[in-house]
Amino acid sequence: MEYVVEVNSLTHYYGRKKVYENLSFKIKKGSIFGLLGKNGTGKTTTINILNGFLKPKSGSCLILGEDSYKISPETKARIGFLIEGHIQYSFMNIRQIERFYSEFYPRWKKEVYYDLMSRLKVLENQKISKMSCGQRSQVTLGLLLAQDPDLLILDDYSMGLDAGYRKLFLDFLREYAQAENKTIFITSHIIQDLDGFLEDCVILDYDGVVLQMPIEEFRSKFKMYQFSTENESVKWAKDDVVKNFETIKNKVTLYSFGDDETMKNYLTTKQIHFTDFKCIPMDLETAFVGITGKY
Amino acid sequence: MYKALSYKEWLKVRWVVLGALVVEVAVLIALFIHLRAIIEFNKANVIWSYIVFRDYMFFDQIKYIPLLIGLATGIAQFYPEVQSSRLKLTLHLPLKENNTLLFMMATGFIYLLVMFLVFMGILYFGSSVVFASQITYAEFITAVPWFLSGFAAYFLSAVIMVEPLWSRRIVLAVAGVSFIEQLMSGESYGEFKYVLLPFALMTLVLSFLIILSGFRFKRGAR
Repeated sequence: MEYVVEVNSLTHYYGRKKVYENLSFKIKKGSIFGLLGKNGTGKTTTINILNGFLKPKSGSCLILGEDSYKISPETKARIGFLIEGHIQYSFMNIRQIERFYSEFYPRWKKEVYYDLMSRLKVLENQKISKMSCGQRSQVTLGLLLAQDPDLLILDDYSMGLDAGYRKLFLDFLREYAQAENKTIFITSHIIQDLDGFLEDCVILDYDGVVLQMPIEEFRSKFKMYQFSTENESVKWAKDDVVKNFETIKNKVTLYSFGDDETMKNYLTTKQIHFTDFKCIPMDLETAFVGITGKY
Repeated sequence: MYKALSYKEWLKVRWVVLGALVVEVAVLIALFIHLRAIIEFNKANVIWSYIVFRDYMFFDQIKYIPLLIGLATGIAQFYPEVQSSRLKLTLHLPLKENNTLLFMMATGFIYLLVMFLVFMGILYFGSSVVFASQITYAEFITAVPWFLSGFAAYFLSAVIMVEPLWSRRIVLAVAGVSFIEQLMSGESYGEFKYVLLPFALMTLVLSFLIILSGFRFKRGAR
């Protein structure tokens, strides 16, 4: 198996504040990988470490086979990097920025960029600073696709975008990844958009990695169970079976990787009487909230 | 690739460069009109005696202009880079990071050099029409530290903006202001004649500080 990114036992602190400890994951070549987590769980920190803009306290991070803190210019040319907020050289216009970047990348595809720009209702000499966030995102996407990188690292592509632009962004990315066998590493705080897009994911919480597994496996194995119980005094806690729980009066919601039988046996063993037991189907966002909690 | 990088730098500073050239020419025109008026209303020997015995500097109005031009160039070139951490885009370009930063500094330095050579050239040739070569040369030597202050202001503003740590920014600013004050402190003709080379070398050394600030930026110091 060829891995494009290999993160091993990464630990980082900002001063005394722990971001995470022993974060490890690998990204397969040609896959679409999501780093999911609430705000402040270390997604951008990880992106910064991956791009060599932050030295981790300990651990190692290999990107396209090189130490991420010492990426060679040749390897940088193979990595497309989207900064959170679709940051670009806003003092340039559409034509100038294409002219600028085209000099750096040997596989530059000018037509891909201008094809995307032709769909925008902007003039070629319009400065990027005068564009809406949505338009700016298309310029950024056009530049990334024209670069034709082997690995795309996208830090919160969804920031500031309305539903239309978010969908457009992902549609282009999907087509690009499928056609060219490219690897995409993406973070976002809008999980619902990534449903059906991601192949593999790591979910971060304030205590570190909650899980890493293929999305389909997560979707099929992670379940939400609801039931009623007369015993409102039960003290629920996370354990090997219950990954998270919510209670509203006598209504209980449990999240687990166990199947129906496992859950029923679990409740019986704990001598909890239950009624109206049902397994509720979840979309990716609900499953994400289920495993990380609402707070 | 470096051609593209210089294109980006030009896009950022072009209005400052053009504006500075216009200001320089306007200031020099005003300066020579004023000098002409002084010559008209005074005898030549009076002006000579003021210059020789009282260190009268008819051109001291330009003293702070190189400093302001250096500062404006530094801000125009590096503020867009550090705003929203845009410098990450630049450092992600397929070039060695130190080379990129030094090239950016070298580009700004060359623009400043051109602006200052134009300024100095017009001043020198304009004044050589009126004054003897010894006085024109003394003017030149006297004004060199002022132009060095322009380069120093440029280098320091760039380094301070790229520097991520506030504590170091303050240290750099305090040290920089002291150095520039020293460059500006001359009150008579050619006062720093024998220390111009050390001053020039110290100014040049400031440009390399960008590597340290860039290193801390890249390391994610905060």
